[in-house]
Amino acid sequence: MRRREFIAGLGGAAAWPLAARAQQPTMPVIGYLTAGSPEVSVNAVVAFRKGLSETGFVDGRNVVIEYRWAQNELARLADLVADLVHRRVAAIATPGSVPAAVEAKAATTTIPIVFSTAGDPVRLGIVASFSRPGGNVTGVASMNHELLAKRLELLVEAVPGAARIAVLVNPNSAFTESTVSEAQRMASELGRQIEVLYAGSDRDIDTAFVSLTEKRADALVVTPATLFLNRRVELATLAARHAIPAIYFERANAVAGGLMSYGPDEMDQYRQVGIYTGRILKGEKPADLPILRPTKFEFVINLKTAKSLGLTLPRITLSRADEVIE
Amino acid sequence: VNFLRRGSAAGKQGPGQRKVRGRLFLKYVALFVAVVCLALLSNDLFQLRFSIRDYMAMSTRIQQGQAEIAAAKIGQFVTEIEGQIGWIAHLAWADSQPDEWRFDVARLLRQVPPIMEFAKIDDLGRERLRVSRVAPEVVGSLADRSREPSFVEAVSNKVYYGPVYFRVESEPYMTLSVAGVRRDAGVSVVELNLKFIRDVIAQFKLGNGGRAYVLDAAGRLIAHSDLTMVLSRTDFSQLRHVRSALSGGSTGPPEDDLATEDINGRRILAAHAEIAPLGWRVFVETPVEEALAPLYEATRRTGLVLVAALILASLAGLFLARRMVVPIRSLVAGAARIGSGDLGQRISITSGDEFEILGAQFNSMAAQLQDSYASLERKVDERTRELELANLAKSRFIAVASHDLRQPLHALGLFVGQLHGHVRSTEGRQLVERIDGAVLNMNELFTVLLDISKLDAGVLVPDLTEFPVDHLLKRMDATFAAAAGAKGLSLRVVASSAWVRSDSILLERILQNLVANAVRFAAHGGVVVGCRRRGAALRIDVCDSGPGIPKDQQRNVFGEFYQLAGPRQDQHRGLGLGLAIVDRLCRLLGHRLELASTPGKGSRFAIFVPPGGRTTRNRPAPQPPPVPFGSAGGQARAHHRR
Repeated sequence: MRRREFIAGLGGAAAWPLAARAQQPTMPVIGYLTAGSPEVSVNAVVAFRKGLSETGFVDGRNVVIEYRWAQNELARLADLVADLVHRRVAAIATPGSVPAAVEAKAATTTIPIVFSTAGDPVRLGIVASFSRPGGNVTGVASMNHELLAKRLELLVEAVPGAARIAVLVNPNSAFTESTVSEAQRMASELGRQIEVLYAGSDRDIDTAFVSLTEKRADALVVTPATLFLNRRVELATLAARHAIPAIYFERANAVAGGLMSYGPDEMDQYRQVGIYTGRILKGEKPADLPILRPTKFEFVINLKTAKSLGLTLPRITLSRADEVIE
Repeated sequence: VNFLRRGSAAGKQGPGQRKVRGRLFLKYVALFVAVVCLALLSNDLFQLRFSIRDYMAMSTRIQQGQAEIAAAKIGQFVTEIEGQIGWIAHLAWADSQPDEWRFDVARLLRQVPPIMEFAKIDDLGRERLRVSRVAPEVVGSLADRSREPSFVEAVSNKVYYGPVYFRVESEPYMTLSVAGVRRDAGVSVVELNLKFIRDVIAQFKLGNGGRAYVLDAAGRLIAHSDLTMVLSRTDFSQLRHVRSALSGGSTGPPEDDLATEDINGRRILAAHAEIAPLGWRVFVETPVEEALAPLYEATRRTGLVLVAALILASLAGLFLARRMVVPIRSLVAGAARIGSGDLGQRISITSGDEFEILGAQFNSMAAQLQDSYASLERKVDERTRELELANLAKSRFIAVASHDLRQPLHALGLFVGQLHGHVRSTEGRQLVERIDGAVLNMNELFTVLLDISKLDAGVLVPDLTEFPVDHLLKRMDATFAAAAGAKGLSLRVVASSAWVRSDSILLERILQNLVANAVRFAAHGGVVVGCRRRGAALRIDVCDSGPGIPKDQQRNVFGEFYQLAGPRQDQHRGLGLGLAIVDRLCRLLGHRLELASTPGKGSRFAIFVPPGGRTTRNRPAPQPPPVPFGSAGGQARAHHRR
């Protein structure tokens, strides 16, 4: 009897904070929506929450974050968005997931949406302009896609002998076409042969590397895609296994074992999404928040990878590096 | 002793006085508090009024300083970039190999993040190298840029600051070109991302609400503490202080109104400074509220001091008022006690000031009063004793007179009686008769004289009682019926049920004298005695049908030994003292005496007696007068009131 009371007391003590939380009906709810899966999005989530906390919001204390993962199945996005809209969340954040942003924008014109994209959101059609996005959508544009030519240049500079260059592209991206055409244009400019490889899922990545070997590519450019960021370790491993020098779009890839990376700090973009979401929770209107663009592009070299590839990087390449991982 | 009573009556106004005392106390405290607080408050308000202006001016001056420092820093930001380009700008394209150029530019870009693009143009205006952070390098394109202002202006001025432009209609950029020292060094052109100016501004500690921003000469926003303001191309040029700064160009704040409004409509203090080489302006804004926060804090503290001062002043006022009022109270209380007759009372005040002197004055006054009162009492005692002695002497004299003088008179009467038996002759008997008559007269005269002397001495004290007047009237009837009948006169006494307030014995004596006179002087006709109500008084009339008294003698009849000259001279005409006694008795009793008479027809004497209550009161038996009062008017018998 006494034991049961004791346990009941414990239960009560445990329930108390929950009750206290339930008594705060004003706690806003943020829908965190991506096309990806949680296990590979840890860094993004951490960055997003960091940004949110910079504006004073902490999950579980004064804000609730509802996570919705499409697990790389884009068809599921519509239902997930509908659920968030139905729950009348205060804002929907889609860090690093353009399809999610597009789906959300289609589903609601009232709930603020904060996105981040590697491409041009104006061209995507989700905002009217950089300075005045208008409507209920704003966010961060890393412009990472525009750096393809620069990456090709850096790759060619680092591996001057590479005649056949493979470009890994996410076929599901809104920027696929422009990326491919840009790659073709650059190929003729640089006098190299370009092989475009598509990978929209984990399995595709393996397939792409198989065809990469088949096509005897000398070097690889990995174009910006959340999938390639999420699968950075696998990509680095595959590249090492196939002994192919590669350039990526995000520092994290270089850290994970990729040879080089050039681009803005994508994690910082996720942090900015968190900041914007917090500012919106505080009452600012998405229409008044301009699209943020990065100011810094980092060139990171992983010398360990270079060494394992048996690659001696030219002096000019090394001199350009903002960061060298040894 | 009367003034003492009055004093005690004044002392009965106690409650009123206490009220006044309380008011004085409060008034004193309130006055003290008011004076102290008014002084402090007016001082504080006065200071506050000027402090607000001073503070705002001071804050504006501080902001002005901040703006100037910010302007210098931003200017420095640009000139530093200029300097960093310097070494590369002084190199001619031909001085190095293209690869070396690429190295140098790569190093420049790494060192100077705001540079988004670098281009080297030779002295002919041909582009030799273009390096971008976004786009691939272009080497030796030889594109003609000789007509661009970035080339033309730099060649002529060594440095060219291009106008601010916005990429993707959002991000501010500026072209900066530097010409080399040598002509063949050409021009180095960089595109600067001006978002980096925010980092410069962010270094300034402007407080929570403080803002700093930079506008170019056209009023476009280049940098702001909040980057989104720049990216969203917020228009600041319409703000009052911005407009005046852009048009007037005065660097100081407007003197008339220091406060203005910011983009969100908050009241702010604004200052601005020009960034010299660029023509831009830095604006620094601080909310008025924040600028004045220290002042408000000081005011709050002053308020606390004021409250403390109020409490202290109240306490001090209370203390001082107590010190003032307590001696006053003890003065008032002492004066009241002295006033109520307690002359032994002394006031004890030891405040060491005027109050103590006043208390001492009060005490000496009370002492003098006590002294004079004591001497007065002594004198009164002496006089009373003297009077008693005199009274005693008089009484003794009267007693001696009545006894010692009557003795020989009685003896004389006895001897005359004995003489009757010894004288046989008719002539002798007549003589004895006359002697007897003379002795009788003398006896009578003596009694009346004694009475008058008693009345004059004031020894007689009337004993006023209320009694029915009818008793007296009946006695008159009984006393004088026989005498009147003997003279053939009719005596009519009208009965009355009225009560009068008087001394019954003295009033009876008055009536006896009047009726006796009437019976004596009326030769024929009759005498009427009756009562009549006249106003508040009862008039007792004694009317006779005697010879009457002429008008000119009516006053004289009340004098001693006055007798009317008339045809009838008989021995029963009396002593001429009856009306004198009546007059004195009436005066003693306070009864008005009236005489109405017509010679030949008769006279009417009227006495106005106050009426008594009709109910018999339970009164103590009348006390006897100290001196016996004998009867007169032919009545030998003396009345003794026992």
